[in-house]
Amino acid sequence: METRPVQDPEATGTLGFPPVGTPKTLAACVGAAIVPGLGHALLGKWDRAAVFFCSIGLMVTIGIWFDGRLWSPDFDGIVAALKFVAEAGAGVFYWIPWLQGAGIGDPTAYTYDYANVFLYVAGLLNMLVIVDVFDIAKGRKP
Amino acid sequence: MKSHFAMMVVFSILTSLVIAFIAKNGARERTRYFLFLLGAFVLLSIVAGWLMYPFPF
Repeated sequence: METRPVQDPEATGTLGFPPVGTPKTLAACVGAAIVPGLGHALLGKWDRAAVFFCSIGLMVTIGIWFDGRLWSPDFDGIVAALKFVAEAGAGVFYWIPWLQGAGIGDPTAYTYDYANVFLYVAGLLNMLVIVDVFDIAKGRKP
Repeated sequence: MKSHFAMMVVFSILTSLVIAFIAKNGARERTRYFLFLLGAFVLLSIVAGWLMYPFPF
């Protein structure tokens, strides 16, 4: 009786879902870093793309609307640098308002702290979204 | 909107939605996980708020 070796999904790096090529993986990850949801759209995951685009966009909008501060890439200190990195994770949702001079921030505003949390978490969530795009592209999840 | 509670609920909804879509597949699983996360966010925030209530700072 002929036997065939069983492919170990962990060893092959996939869990039974079709992976895409390296150029498309790279394009999807870079796209997700620039525009939240674009990476999923490039991979044909339209429901996720719409949810990520709307949710992260809304979080940044609320953050700026309620007097949150968009930290500039000036790296005055480690804390300021980390805040910038967290916020810049949102891609164009950070860079467009920052280039337009929005998000100056008002520390005396009642909602300043909450608004900043919206801005930080929007960027950090988009970093998770980029990892999700990579996993989908590599065939590790549907 | 000057209600901290309302802002916390909005934050919880948006964050739970993104995490549910990342972590789960299928509408039913996502809905259940979203509701679980939303409840956990809101309830634990209220509990944490009450635990910090006596602090003088």
